[in-house]
Amino acid sequence: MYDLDGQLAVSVADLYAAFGIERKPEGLCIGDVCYPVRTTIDGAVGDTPIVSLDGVAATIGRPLVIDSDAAVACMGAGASERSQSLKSGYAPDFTLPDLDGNLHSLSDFRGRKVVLYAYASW
Amino acid sequence: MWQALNLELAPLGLTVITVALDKTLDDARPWIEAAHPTHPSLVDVNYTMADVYNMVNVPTVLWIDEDGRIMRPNDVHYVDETFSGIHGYHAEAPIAALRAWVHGESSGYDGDAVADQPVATVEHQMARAHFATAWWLANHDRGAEAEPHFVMADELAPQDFTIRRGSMLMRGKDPAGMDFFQMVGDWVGAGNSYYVPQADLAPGTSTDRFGKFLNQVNGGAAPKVALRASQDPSSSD
Repeated sequence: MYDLDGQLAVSVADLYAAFGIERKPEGLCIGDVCYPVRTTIDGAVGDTPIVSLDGVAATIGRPLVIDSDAAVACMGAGASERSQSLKSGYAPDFTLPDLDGNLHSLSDFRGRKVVLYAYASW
Repeated sequence: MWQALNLELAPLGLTVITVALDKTLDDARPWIEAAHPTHPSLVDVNYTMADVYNMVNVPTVLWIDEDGRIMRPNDVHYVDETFSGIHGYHAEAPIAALRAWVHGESSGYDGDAVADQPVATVEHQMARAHFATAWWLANHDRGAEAEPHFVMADELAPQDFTIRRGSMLMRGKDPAGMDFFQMVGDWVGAGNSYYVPQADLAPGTSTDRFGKFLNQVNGGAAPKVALRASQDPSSSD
């Protein structure tokens, strides 16, 4: 973590490692989708390029929680990302474990009808 | 009951996938082991499903066709009668519709399944980010630091009971007792709905019966009951 003009910043490498977001000349890119950067979000510490987390969150429309006292930051999924996914009409894929730790994805069951049932023990 | 439906309908092309939104695998383990499921019975300790599908309560059901399209949006389907005396929702119509769909009839959904699938707001996604922050802190024994983020999540998304009820255990509250009744009672008493199913498979129950009942409990007008088993997927097997 770095300080960029009073804002919390991370290295470009960590931005990609943690969030899958690439800093490219054309903007901030998640896969094939790039968001143009309209504010100053970049800096450097020595030879390490860094970006402001606030700037990243604002650019791609994601919620960002920074708790300086707890030294914790969390960037969630954006409302527009989620909306576009659901409004496509296709069920978003997910991968979750069973009790034995075996991973299952919704997409494993393509070709079958699926009832997806979410519940809780609480 | 989901296990029984899966056994009955799997040969015809249906897979039931149950997902427990619980903070650890061991929280979900007794419920899953009791059901002896032969279908995928998964555990989501980060509540990812609630975020991705914009679920705000449990149980939540979706129907998905062979091509991965949502045929029935987020809904409340009870497939046994365990608590029908409380919430007034019955199993007959959802089960009949499910059997018909698997046998090749339409999903029977008379709305626009895509348009009716709820999508999250900016405020709701910020609530989920606070919830995730709180969850992480609480899981690292930093409950005092987590609490302000739980509070923020509650305030930003008061309609989301996967957050408000789903965080109660970590906050030292009882999600199946008076803390829960008080929370929902206040919510319903202020004129809000707790949980209303899509109308077509819950005929005559378009009002929020469950919420009204819980509000009565909160006001002392109804007998107190234990709701802890209400979300178990297969307890009636």
